[in-house]
Amino acid sequence: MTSEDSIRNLLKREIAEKIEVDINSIDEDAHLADLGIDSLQALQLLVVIEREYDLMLEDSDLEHFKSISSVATFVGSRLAAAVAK
Amino acid sequence: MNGNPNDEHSAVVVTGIGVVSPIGNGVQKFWPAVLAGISGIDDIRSFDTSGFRTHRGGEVDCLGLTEYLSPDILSQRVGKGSVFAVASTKMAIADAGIDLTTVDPVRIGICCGTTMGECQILEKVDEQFVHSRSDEIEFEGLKYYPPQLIPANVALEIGACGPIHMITTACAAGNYAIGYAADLLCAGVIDVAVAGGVDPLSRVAFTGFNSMLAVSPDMCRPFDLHRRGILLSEGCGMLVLERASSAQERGAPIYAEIAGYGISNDAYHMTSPHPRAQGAINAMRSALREADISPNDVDYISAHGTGTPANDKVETYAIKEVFQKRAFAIPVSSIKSMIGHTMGAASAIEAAVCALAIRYSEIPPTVNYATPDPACDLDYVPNTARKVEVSVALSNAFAFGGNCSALLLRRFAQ
Amino acid sequence: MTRVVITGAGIVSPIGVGVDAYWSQFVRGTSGVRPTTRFQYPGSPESVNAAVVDDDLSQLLPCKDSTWNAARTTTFALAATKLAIADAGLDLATLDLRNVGIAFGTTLSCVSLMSSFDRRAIEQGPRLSDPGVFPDTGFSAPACRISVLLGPCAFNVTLSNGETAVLDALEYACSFIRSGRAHTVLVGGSEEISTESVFGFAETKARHSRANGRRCPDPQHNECPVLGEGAGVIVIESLDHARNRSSRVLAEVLSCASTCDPRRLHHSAAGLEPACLAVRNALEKSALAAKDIDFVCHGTNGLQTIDAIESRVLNRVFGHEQPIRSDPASQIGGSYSAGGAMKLITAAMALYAGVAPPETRSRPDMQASRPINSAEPRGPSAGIVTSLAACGSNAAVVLRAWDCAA
Repeated sequence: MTSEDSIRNLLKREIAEKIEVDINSIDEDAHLADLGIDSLQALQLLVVIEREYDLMLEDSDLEHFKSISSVATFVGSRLAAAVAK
Repeated sequence: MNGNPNDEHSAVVVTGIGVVSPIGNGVQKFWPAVLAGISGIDDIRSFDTSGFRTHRGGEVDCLGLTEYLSPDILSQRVGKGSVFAVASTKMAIADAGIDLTTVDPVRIGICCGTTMGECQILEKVDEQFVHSRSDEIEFEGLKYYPPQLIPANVALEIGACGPIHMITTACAAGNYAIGYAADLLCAGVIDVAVAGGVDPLSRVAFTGFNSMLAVSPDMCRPFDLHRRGILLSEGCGMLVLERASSAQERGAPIYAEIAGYGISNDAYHMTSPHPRAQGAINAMRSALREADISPNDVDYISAHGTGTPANDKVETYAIKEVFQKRAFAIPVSSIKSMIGHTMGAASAIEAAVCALAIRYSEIPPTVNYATPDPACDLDYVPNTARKVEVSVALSNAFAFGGNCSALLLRRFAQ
Repeated sequence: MTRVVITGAGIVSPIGVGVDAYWSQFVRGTSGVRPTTRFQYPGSPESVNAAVVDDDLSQLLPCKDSTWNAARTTTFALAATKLAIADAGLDLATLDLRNVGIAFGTTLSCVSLMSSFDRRAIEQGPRLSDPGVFPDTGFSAPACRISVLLGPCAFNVTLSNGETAVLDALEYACSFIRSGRAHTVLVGGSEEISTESVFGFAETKARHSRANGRRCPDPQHNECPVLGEGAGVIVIESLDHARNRSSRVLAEVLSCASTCDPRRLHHSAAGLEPACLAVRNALEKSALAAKDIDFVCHGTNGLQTIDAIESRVLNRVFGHEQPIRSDPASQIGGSYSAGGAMKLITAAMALYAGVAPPETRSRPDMQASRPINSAEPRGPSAGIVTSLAACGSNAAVVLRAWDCAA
């Protein structure tokens, strides 16, 4: 599994728990807000990502928290950059 | 106001001001500093910020504050909130030139507001819980934690036996406290009120706002395009309020009248403001209606202006909805740009600023303003104080949980 | 002056959820006090006596969102509010919620959640703190959650005045109705028992324990209050609004008064007069005489020194016209700010049911499985609710039976 896949799965598990839906029904490209994730819950997802992947994110990184796919792409690139260093 | 409209003497006026802030304690230090755009922000010293995302905030120079406390209270353990509140209260009473021994104690009321109360006491117990042996935890300290101990300590120090209230509506609490004190005066329940708000710097609040990415790493830039959040701070503002008739009887100089206030709730979300600013708009309109003041007569707005992307945008929208075209002609400034967000003290200190602006015909700037934001297109008095005749000032304060408030002060016609 | 009436009540208590369940258990003398192992930390006693709420409240809460991250204090408040709204027959969907306000009394409030948030940050580092928890740790979180979930938006205030908080919130709410700022207000209070309240708040009252070398509260030795928890909410409306919707009325709020005696704060010996004045002012404003008051719902959270002061205050104010004294805390524990709501609801129910509340002793640590003197059923016409706070504030509220109203 690529790191982006594992990021997607982590986010889907978290979101499924928050909004109480079947994890398989979650659209990875849908806006988080349309899934029912509000701004505070989006912040929680950021903290989960930080904890899981030992990253330090900034408030400006929230602009990437638009959909599961966009978060996975963004975090994936940050992880790749960290490995490259 | 909430009283007998037929009683021409029911006007409630501000006769004394006391301020404890990161840019100076006492009006004599605070007012010139806020007009000069002095910053009270520095690296935080009172707790270790190395594990946090940000490290800056506002802290009060406490030197000399305990001199305002009587030996009786100093011999007890009192929280920092009580120290700030007692000190500010005594400054305000001295400023008002009122001899409280001539007032029936049960006719003196205290209305206080706070966000975190004596949180430092809880924080210490939490540290012991984590780091110490279980028999070293000083649970006894929690006796001094309940927030109503703050107005109770003030009452003890000044000999008040009237109603005492601690209103905990967070960052709007100062306006609530001042407004309700004015209601009690108008209704004839009390004759003198000490009203305001207080908050010592709280590590829990610092943790919480940081966890929400709502804290700026460097400075507070209200309404600026590149604003990144609040800067936590501490302080206290206390006003002496009386009915105009008794103030005039003893020849007290009057700063301003509390003309009215409005409070409302967004009923939307615990942290995000209502997208169409329902609560803020209702609060401002209620205040104007209650005071029977037209939007066209407002000369200055002290904004809530926290410096977060959301608040400043929504507040600008709300001001424009209430004031329409007039909004562009009213100077709007935020002193949080200088002293940071003093939480429960903020709107009390801002009410003091409005009263001072009315007396001295000068308004403080919004400092750190460099780049306009198209979504925030009002006159924010950028960087330099301005001499302006202020007859009516409006002060906004909004809080978590959707609590919104607006306080109106007006020059008192003698 | 605009008349204010109570049209509904909701309660979450250790002896029952909902006013009918609570009242039927209360008049029977049922006690909710029992040993619990819930509040422990390394080195603490294994169990303490407390009156805890064990009921599953999930059916009462709107949806998972409403309990997500919320403290128990908030959960109690939400449940009690929903019960009160239903009891009053209020359909929020038909009301302009800009005329419906919320006035809440809670003082320790969400301290347990705030403390666990803080301790976690200390243990794991602040960067891993959960941002979703912080907004629910504030004093005003319970009241604000009610507005967010149910919609009332005229105003929303939280008073953290300790034992007098809810009576003070009622006075605040009445003033807002009388000034036309709202026609309906949900007035209530909520508190939860926590490690902090058991070993901090209760502990600090047990000065005798320390003098005898014991660190922890030891209720068996009658030295500290038995804590309770829960929430109570009443719906109050202007009489006009209640009449317009043909609402049933539980009781009328005639008057409220408050004073303080801050000497009580740091000195256990303090005068009686400011407290007497609060009671006398409430009587005077109600236009009733001492002899018109059939019962007093009193009690100070089970604090013995303050209970003693309150007892003397009532002796002095009522003289030879002593009403029946009823202290719900003897059965449901001392629930701090929420206690004021419990007393108000007990008083309102007594007036509505036409039955004086059972006379109870004000010592909550006694076995209260049966009341000391069961009150003979008779119709009380008016009652007074009193609260004296350890910090010095005093509050009194006079209620009158609706069928006695002019």
